[in-house]
Amino acid sequence: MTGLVTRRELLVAGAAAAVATRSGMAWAGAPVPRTVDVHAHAVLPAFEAVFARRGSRLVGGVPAPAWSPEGALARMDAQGVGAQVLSVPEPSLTLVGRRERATLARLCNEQLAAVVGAHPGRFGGWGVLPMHDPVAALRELARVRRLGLDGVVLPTSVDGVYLGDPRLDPVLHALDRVAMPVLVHATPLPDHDRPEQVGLPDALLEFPFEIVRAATAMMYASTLTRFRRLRPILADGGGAVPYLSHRTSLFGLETGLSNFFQRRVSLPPGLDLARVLSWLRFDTAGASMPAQIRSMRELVPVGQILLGTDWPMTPSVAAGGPPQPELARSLSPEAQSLVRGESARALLPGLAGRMA
Amino acid sequence: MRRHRIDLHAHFVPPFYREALRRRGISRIAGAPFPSWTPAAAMRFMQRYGIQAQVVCISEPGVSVFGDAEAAALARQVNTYAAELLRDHPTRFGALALLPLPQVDASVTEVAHALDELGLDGVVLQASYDGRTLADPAFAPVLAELDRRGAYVFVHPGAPPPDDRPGLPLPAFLYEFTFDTTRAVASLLSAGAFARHPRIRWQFAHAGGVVPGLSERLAAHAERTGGPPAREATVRALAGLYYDTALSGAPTAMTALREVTSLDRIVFGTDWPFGQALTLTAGDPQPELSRSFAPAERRAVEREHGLALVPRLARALEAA
Repeated sequence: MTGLVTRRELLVAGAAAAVATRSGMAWAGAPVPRTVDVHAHAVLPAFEAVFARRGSRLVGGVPAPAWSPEGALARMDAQGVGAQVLSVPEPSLTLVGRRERATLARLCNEQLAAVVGAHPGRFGGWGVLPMHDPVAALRELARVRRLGLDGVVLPTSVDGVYLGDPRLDPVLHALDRVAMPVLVHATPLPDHDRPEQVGLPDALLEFPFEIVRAATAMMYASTLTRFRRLRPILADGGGAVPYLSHRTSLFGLETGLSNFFQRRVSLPPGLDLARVLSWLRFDTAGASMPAQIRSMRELVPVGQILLGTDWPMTPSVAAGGPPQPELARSLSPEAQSLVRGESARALLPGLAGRMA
Repeated sequence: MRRHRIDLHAHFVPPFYREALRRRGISRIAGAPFPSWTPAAAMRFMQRYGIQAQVVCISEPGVSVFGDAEAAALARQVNTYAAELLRDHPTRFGALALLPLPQVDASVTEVAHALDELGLDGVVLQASYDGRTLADPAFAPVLAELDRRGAYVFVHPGAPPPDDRPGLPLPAFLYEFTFDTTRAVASLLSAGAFARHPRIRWQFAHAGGVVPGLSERLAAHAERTGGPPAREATVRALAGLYYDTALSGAPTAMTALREVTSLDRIVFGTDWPFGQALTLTAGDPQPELSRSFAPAERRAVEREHGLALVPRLARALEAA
């Protein structure tokens, strides 16, 4: 098998080079890499201070590595990545108390904007909002826009309140109104909301489960229908959203389930769950093998699948070479160039302009 | 219409078991009333959907809500009832034994009784008991006993208790059940339990929860903690499990599943009578399977692959 994969990778490298040549990019000379990684993290000084105060660097059971823009750039150069779109490693900001979150969000956004400002063609930024307090979140959204960040990262839930909950609607409404690109990222569950004794880091399973909960809540609350321009990128391949999409849509299918559970779930009239799912976007972090890509492809056009790595929170085993060579096992060269950057540049025109 | 399907994920609710639950104050499951069940109703369902035989088992909460002595006695009563069901209808039903877990010694005893004496077709296990997954070292003697017999083991989820999950106003069956299954597989993988019990034939409900959807994460996690051999062991272990199509037959799941395992590990399942609200019109119980499989593949999924797991039933059908 290993031999086969290697041969495929070689073919891919050749195909990618051919695409590069066709589109007029200098592949062999001074490289102008066009690859965009929409899911990468920056461990900013503001977060370092939080870790120092807590005496722990754990996020979802995984220690946050030390990070610097230079380290990230070296990594990107080794992999031929043109730009990373950065976010904080934990977007609910629940590592600190509620009173401190607005300040932490502001510091993170200012520091993130400074990193982007120093390397405008190499980094984009997902701003973070203090979502526990929608009024403060709206204020911070205004700052994120003034700072020129490329979008915002939303946590799946904050203090047990999920996206889709009407309490968060004012923020989603504002994001929809200004057509702000959104990345939805999982957040660790409060201790009282999870089973004990599983013995695995939250980031492995509980993060993808969180994304399913948030996406399903947004489907049934018709959040994605009411805020039609939201169309978020769900991180980590949407968790298990593509795999479970049939099951989570059962209420919307021609079944007796709506009656079965009518007191628990009331579907807004005319809500077409299958159509709602087809609006979603997914990144490929931890979801780049054929099993995951094929599942996503059954749900959305390939243009809605975007390269993401979760670096450095998920360290890559491979040292150099383009990220996720296995994408070639399920995607044509043309589809890969969409996934590896074209679609992200279309979604994030500010970043595209800075990369040009 | 010719009945050719073999349903490898179906439940039964013996009258005394329903009554025992009712005495415990349990009359609903995952927010819905406990469905009624009789052998005749099961056979009417089979007739309606071209199903030749069902392999039935008890769904959650099993007997884990009862005190030790009562749980062991009730499991024995369920298994005795199941054996009578097989004797009365050897070509229409298979049945899986219920164990009084988390009690380990009583469960080891019941494995021997149910498989050796009663001749049941396998065993059903919950993905977790009181928040402890099947990989809990305390359960190892039960797995060893099942491995020794090369048993067919069906792992079925339950909803984690409400205080072990976020309080979203959506029914737990939509996704929390699948997370329970997924946690069980992940813990069994990381405990090396599949490699240690190579003779158990494992089937995980609802196309493995979301395991195939997260196979790359599981493999990458194994590689980070144990290097490339651990990744290969994970990939091999996932390929060796059986997965049923209950609530999961659409291409979004089946395309991923077919990357993770071979076609012969995919078996037909309905989750009836719990899934009965899903089927409204007679005829095709899972039309989505035709979008996932070519006709010959679909037929094998709906019949031969499942029959291979229950040789007693296969022999009974051949003899009939």
